[in-house]
Amino acid sequence: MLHTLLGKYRNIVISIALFLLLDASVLLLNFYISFEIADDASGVNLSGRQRMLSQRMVKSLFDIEYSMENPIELERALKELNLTVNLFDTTLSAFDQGATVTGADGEPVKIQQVTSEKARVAVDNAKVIWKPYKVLLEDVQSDVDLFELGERMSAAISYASMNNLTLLKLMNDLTIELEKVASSKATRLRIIQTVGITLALVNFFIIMFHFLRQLKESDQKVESARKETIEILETVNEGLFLLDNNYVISSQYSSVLEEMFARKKIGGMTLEELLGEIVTNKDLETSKRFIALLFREDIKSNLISDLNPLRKIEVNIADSQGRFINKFFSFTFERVYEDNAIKDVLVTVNDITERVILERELALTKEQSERQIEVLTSILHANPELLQIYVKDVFNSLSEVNAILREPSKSDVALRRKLNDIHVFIHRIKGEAASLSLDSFEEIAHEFEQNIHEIRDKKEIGGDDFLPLVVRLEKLVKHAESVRTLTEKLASFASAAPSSSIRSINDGSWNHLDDLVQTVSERQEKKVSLVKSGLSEIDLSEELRSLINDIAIQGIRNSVVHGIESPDERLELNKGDAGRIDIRLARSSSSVLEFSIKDDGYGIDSDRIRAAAIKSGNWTEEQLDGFDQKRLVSLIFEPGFSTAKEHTRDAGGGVGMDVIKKRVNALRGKIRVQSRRGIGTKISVSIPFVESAEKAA
Amino acid sequence: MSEETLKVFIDGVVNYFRHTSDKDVKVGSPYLVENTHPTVFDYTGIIGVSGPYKGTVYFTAPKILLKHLLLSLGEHETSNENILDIVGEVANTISGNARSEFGQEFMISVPVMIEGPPTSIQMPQELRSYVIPIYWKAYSAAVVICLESSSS
Repeated sequence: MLHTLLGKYRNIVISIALFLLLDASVLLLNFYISFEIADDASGVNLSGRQRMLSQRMVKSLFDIEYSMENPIELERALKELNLTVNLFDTTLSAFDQGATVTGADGEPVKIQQVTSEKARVAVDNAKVIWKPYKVLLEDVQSDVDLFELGERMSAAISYASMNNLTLLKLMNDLTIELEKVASSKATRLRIIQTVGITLALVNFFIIMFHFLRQLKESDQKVESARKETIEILETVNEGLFLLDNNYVISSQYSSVLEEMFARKKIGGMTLEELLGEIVTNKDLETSKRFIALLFREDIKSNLISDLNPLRKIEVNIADSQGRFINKFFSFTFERVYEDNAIKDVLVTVNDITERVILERELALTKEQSERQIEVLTSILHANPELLQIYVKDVFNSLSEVNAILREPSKSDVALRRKLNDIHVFIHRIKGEAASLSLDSFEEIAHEFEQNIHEIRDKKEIGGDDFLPLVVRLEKLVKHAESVRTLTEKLASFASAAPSSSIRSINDGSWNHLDDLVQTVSERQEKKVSLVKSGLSEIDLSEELRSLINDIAIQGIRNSVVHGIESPDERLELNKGDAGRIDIRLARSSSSVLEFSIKDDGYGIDSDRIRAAAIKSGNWTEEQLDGFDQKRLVSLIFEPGFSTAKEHTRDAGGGVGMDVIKKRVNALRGKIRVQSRRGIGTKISVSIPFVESAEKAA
Repeated sequence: MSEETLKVFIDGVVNYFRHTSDKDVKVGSPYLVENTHPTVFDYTGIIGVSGPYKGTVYFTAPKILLKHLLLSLGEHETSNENILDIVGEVANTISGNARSEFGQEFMISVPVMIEGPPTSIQMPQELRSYVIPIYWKAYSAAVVICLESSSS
């Protein structure tokens, strides 16, 4: 650490150290020289004092001379001379040899031996003068009588007057020289300070410029690296971010991430916050468990990468409309190591919606084509034109059913009426499907009917009981849609070869009725033969053909299911095991068409009609008691009336006759029912008839 | 789509109205509408559904019904804001009920409330919606469900 720091910042560290060293040396020199200057100053001071002392000595000599008469004054003068001489002597020898003397303030002061040439000359010369002078002065101080004193005084005064000025001059020279020395030291100090400070400043500026430049350079490098990172994060098409071990998303992430998740400020969020609202709880839980594994050092990442539950995850982003926008994201995770420890996990998010949708569409297309083949197989045997008519009919009927459902109704009675109305349409769809052998339609319609019966059987019905019906309704619509698509395709290339019912009606053979008899009797485990006559001889309008066809279909189903007995029963009744149905079309007059369908079965069982009527709840026993046979039989034309023991595909609907009656009435026709117990039933329909224009022409 | 799924959404609304002072709420017979002509009253609360089924479920009601609903809940302030709030509350009840019934497999969005014409409700145009009328007092509202199975 220290090494790398030194390595990177070595120059800076050295420069700063140099700067400090320079500062410290200047400071040290400063100290040293200023002490020396202080010493020199006291030297100057004391040498100045020597000048003064030399004069005081002369003054003391004259003082002694004047005080000769007065012993007290004399003593004082002598004492003063003594002091002056001693002080001058010690100070002079201190300048000569170096010693400690008493300073002006009475404190001891250390004096260095003078070394400069001029000072030395001054001191040496002074010493030469001082030596005899000092002896003379000491003589004056010796305890002698006044006469002797006078003698010594005159010797001393005469020496003093001879040498005093020279001594003063020498002391003055010394002072000046010492002052010069001190002054030159101060100059040197200033130079040293100036040079030191200048060097320090130069060093400082070098540091500043060098360091700042380096700083600026490295800042620029960092900035450009940051810019590059930002550019990458802004342009990359994948969602990129780092996840720390608290599952917190890094502050930097690719900008496409915000777009993908339709969120702002994702940095700092936890992964749970990011995903919580857009994936199911189940997915969130498994994802959290998986990410926890990513941060475990003991688990190898390639071992768990297969477990990644977010490799293909559906996210649901709610939009402002309250809808969910479904997308598919693919998350990949890469561990980021620092010092051999898992520091973060790099998360890459890809929007794979298009790929998934494509995959799904492919699967869907496959499924659809399979379903189409299924539908195709179920309708292939039917005539395309007839099928088209049928499908159109189904759509009309279903939209009628939907219209009935849509009418507002709350009461039980109103809802029951709706049920009956719907039943009419559904039964017709079912019946026609049977005639065309469209098993798929027949099946759904049958389920629909079953649902209707289940609802009817409830004591009280509400709107929500109709839910299964509307579900079936949609199923029928969807089925009809897929059949319509197919029939349209089929019709485009099958028109050249019409087949089945339409052809059988058009060519007058009406063979599809034989098929119907065959199908229904097989399902009922009965034997029935069909005899047709007159169907091909009269040219009918489209409307009449359709009505006659419907009556025939309904009649055949009624006869086979209700009328004709099982082969065993028939044998017991000596009737022969196979029943017979006669269909006949004829013109009874020029303007009336007669159509009849007759079977040799059991006949209409009025007891069963009675029982069924009571069960339906629409009539009381008393009412029924008042009905004659004819009125009783007419009940079969009541909506929803059925005598079948259970609802099967071939029977139990009870709307068929009702519908037929309505349609016949609409053409101002009449229906007559004849029935004899054990002999059979005959339903005759007479309709006012005008031969179609083309035929007449 | 099964009748059970439809029932879950209806039950949410019915339960809500059962808690009002006028408990007499009736469900009308459901029917289909083409999404090109959606059934919408004055105010609508929409929730998004995702999971095994995907699509939209919304509760839509006329202003007058919602005003009465507010009153019956003891709220005398029938401002636009409160009306939107109550629509949101009903939608919330639907989504809450759906969440508890469908569990973890489904995602149910937070309701969005809108006021106004049918154009503001965006639904897949090629699909049909189930409309379930709700009768309360003299008024009628509806729950509209447009979901498709995710697998197909």
